[in-house]
Amino acid sequence: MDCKELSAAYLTDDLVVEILSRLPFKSFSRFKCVCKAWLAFSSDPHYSQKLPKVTNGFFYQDRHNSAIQFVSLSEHARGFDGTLSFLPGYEHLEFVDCCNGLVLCEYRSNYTSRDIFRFIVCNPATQEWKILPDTQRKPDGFDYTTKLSFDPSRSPHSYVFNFHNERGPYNFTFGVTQVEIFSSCKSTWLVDKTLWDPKNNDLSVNGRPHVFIDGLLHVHTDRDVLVLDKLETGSMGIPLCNWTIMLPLHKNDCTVDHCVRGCLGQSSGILHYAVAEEDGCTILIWSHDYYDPYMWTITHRLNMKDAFGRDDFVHYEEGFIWACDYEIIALDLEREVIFLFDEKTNKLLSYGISTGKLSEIKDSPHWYFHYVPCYLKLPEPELVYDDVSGLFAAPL
Amino acid sequence: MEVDKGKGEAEETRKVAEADRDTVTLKSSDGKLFEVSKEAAARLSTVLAGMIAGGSIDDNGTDLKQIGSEALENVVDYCNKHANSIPSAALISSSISFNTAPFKEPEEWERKFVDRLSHDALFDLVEAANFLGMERLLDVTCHKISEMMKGKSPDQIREVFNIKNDYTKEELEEIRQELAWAFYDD
Repeated sequence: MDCKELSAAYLTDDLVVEILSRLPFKSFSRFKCVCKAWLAFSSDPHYSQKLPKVTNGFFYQDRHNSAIQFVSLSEHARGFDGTLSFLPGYEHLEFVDCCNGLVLCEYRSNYTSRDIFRFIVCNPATQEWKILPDTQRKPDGFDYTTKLSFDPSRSPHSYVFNFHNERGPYNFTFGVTQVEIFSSCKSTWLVDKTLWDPKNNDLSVNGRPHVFIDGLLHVHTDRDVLVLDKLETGSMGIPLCNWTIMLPLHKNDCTVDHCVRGCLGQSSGILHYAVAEEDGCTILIWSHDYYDPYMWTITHRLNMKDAFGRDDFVHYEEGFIWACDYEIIALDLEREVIFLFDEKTNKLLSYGISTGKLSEIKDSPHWYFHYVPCYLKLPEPELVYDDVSGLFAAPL
Repeated sequence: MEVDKGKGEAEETRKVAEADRDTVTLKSSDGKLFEVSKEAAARLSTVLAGMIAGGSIDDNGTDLKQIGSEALENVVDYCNKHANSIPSAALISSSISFNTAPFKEPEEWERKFVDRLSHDALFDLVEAANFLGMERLLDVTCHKISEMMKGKSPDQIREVFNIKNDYTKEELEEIRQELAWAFYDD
């Protein structure tokens, strides 16, 4: 036992950090409780780069390949499982959505029954997960767009919206006719025709990033931004309070125009929208003033001509459908970065707003989801009163 | 020309054999002597490589005052085992840069080698590997210790590392609450 006195107690900080740097992020975080010196390593500039940390980055997945992957925006992402291999049946997952640190995936239909949706919500930073109760898939004639909503600054609970887009003949989309809502608070799906305001029936919710600000879900539709409010009451069956915000360049025929090819984002709780100008040479970033629903102000004009060193960005598909070589896929205005995918070179790029420079993140075509970690523990659902037993119990 | 070349090589070989033995003798802090293959020592330890190249190797036992006999025995054992194992591509590439290159999983024999060691022997070996600049051995031992730490509580870690808890009750409670998610199974 004398030997023990002598052993680890005199390991130098360098060696302790060598050992800690090999731990998974979760164990490493737990051991911050060991002593003050171990807590301090993370904030020590000399050591912090080596130590496990979860970083911002992009999840991506090849639709023909089952593996979910992650590209970090920092070179020093250690101890982070970006393949989500801590999830049961992770090889069978399709990445669906990502919101403020939580991730939503769906089990592929060859793994589950074809008639159901089975979603899983997880927090990759804390490696917690929860499989949602199954929900029915309609036999045919529907497309689905599923969005995860989570705002840790407001509530530890999250919501999943499954929009049912009805398809007409020749795959023409009629728009959303129904929405299902899952709330982690109640741990059940709510499917009710009355939830969806019929005046929105001709809207299509698209797969572009949505923004959840102050409890309001902002989804990008084929024309505008649809805002859904009172999510808490929606999950109790009360119709969702909703309105639309017209996009800054809104025109009545803009379904084929460039004004809907932008990207929503937020900064300090204010809705932002980034969109390329018609010739693609400039990206405009607008901020939205909530107290004046039609008020958009330009905050940035980003010169893409200089960044890319070319100006031939735009062509018209079938003679009239506007198409730009790059797509804006995420905004991180707090860090003054926007992310673009260049379809010409198949590269995921970041553009520094203050530097005006592009840098390459990844050089392969995928569907990328911007991820920013959150270390909040997944909450337990509220207990429900069971009439039969007369007891409060956790929902299944 | 060919004859000359052959002659030159033979001379060189003779020179090497005369000047050096193919092992070096190392002396632990408690005076025990260990012999290790010179080639393996030079390949695996930057410090020993420097001493061999600089001629500061003592034939009667090079003093390594910082390393106890048990740790030195393990170091020598590791070097000899390493010399006998076929170096794999993975091993070679992992030695390029210890801090930035992704860690290559220990080979089967390396795993067995560290698995039989007690906590204390392992900690001593980490120190010895660090002192001798043995990147691969440091990598393998640190990896083993981190494997042991997974799933343990902070209390258990304090015991293994012989660390005193210097948090107040309130401080610990606060930090535990912040990290509550990290306290559920790995």
